[in-house]
Amino acid sequence: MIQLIGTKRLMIIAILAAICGVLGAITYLYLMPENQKLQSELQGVKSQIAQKRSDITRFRQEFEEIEAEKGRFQSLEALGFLTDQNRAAAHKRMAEIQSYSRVLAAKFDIDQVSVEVPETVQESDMVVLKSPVDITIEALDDADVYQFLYLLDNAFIGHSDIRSIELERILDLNEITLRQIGSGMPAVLVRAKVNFDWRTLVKKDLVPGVPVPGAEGL
Amino acid sequence: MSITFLSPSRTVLLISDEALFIYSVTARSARFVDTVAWLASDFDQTVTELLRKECGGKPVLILNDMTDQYFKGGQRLPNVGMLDKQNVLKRKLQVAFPSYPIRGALPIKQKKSPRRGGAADANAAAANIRTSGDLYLFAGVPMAEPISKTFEAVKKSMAPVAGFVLLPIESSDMVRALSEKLAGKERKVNEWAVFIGQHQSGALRQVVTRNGQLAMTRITMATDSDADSRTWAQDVYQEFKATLSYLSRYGFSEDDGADLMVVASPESGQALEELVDIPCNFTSFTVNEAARVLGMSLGPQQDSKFADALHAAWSGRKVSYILKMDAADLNRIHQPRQMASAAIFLLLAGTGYLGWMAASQAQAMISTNSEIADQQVVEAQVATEYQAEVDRMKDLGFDVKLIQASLKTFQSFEDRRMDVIPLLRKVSEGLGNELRLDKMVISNKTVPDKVDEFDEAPKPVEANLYMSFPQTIEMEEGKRQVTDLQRRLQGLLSGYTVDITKNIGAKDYQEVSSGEVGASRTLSAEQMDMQAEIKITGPLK
Repeated sequence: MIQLIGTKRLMIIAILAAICGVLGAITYLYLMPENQKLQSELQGVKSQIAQKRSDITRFRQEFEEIEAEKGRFQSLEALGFLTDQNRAAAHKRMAEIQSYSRVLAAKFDIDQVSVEVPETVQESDMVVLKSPVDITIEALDDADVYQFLYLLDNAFIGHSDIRSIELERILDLNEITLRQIGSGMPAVLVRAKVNFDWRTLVKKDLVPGVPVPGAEGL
Repeated sequence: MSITFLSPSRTVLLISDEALFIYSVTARSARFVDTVAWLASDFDQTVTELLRKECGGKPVLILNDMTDQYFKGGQRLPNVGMLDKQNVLKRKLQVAFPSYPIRGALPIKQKKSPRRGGAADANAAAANIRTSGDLYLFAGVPMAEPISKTFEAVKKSMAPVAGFVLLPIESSDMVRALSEKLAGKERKVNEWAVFIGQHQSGALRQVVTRNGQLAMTRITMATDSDADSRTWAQDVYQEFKATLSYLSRYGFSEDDGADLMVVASPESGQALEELVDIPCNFTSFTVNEAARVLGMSLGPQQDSKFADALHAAWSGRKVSYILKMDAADLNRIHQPRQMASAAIFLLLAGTGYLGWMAASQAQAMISTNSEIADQQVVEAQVATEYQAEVDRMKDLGFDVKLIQASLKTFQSFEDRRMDVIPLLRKVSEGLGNELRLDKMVISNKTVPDKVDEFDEAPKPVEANLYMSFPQTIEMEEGKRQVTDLQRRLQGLLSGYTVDITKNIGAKDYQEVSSGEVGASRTLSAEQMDMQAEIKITGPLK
């Protein structure tokens, strides 16, 4: 066969095959994988740039939003919406409301706290603390009860959501009661039972003992 | 005729009875290289050297011009299918030339319109064409010593083999082309054309075509025209007359006319023209003139009266041959080289492709590297900008997520909060100075998050007002006052529903009743009759 084909042809074939092999190896074993790697690297850099640009845009937008909402947020902070439900503080605030509203007495029970995680806090590390509160109010006039309710709505720590009110006239205003009032004895003419949910927002890690909904698996 | 700039460059080995004539044919010239006598002692070595060095190892075309080449015309194949045709043809060719190893079959174009004979002959011929298979011209060449010597030399030269062809057959289209060129537009091309040319070996080759197909060929010896033009012309004329006498067997008549083309020196051509006494279109030209008529270039020729350079150039420049002979000995040399050539071609193509791929990939790599460098600069700029924004946010001292979560959460609580003060104010306004309530219960009912659009709008606030009238009041008056109160409240509380659930004197107590007995506040039946209840339902705010 070599005699028929000739050494020259065989050499050419061998050289061409070698060149093909070398070119193939360079192309498929080095250049193409290297190109893919470089492309991937380029995509990574581009992706990082895009991500950073997106973050910059978001920061700028948030900065404007913060500027606009800063006042409202500070009001919420002043209202105590971002505090733990300190019972002593609640007691003190309740006493202030009782005093301002001029009701004769306000007996209250704050039930066990529970944790809520509404959709609005899911992106933050905050949870909502909720405590049901029952108050029994005794007053001389129903207007004092209304004042109490108004202050409860607007001046109590955090957010108060009245669930029910039962307002009852205990005594009629007659001579006996007028005489009693006149003698300085406290005469309860109106009694009200109020039930409301007290809510504040706290950081998740501040409520270790309280079960957080959806956190059982953590 | 082949197109000049696409013409292959080949070495043509013209095998004659006397010697091997070697021509190097390119697109522009047909250069006579050398003659090697068959009896030369170092024939193989000489030819091999010539093919390698003088001809540059170009593909070799073996053009057989020997006397020993045999033709069998009118070989009709039976009507067989396409798949069997080649086998039948091969078998028939073997039967026709059992002892000649070099064979070939040329399909002949059949004409339906006979020039002579009546309608009956025409019908019979047409019927024959319809019922029979194709018509072939069979050709066979014995394996003479010159041919085997040539094959051996080609084998040793390592040159590629273009093929083994017969000069008369491959020149038949040249004769037709010459005939057409000479006729031009002035006259009709004759059915018969005769080409006469003397080769360097001294052999006089006559190629006769009919309608462009080889009809007959003769090779005879003639005297050298250099000696005496008139004697040469007489020899050639005698041979021509002999040819015509053979042609008459194939239906040629002198009255039919013919194109007679002769390659000779001008003097010899003129001498021959004077001798020709039959009606024909006589043309005599030198080999270069004939090539010019064909639109070819032969380059400078040692002796322009010989025609073999024209034959070599014509056949050597062909892209495809009329009849490529099948020679087993040549195939054994040719096929491995052809495969090697194919392999070289494929490897070249592969090298080209891979080279292009490598170049493209390298280019892409450079481009990507450059782009990465550009993007890294951009990334650094963006990172600086990003850091500035982060610092600005830190300086602000607020947690964005905390602010957003706080505001949204507080707002969502506010949206669901029962606003009780306005309701109390309206109730108080509705009661006026005359009426007073014994008891009022307000509750915030739980409302489902999703309410079907066809359901009644949810009314989460429910307020129940309880009042009593003294027994001294007329029943009708009490009822009127309750009804008036209900109307006033309905007017004041837009969006709320105010219903009297129990009016005074009514006996159908729908509500669940509760009370205290055994104490001072126990109500009598009469007192209970004077009690009324109003129910208010409506939205949170």
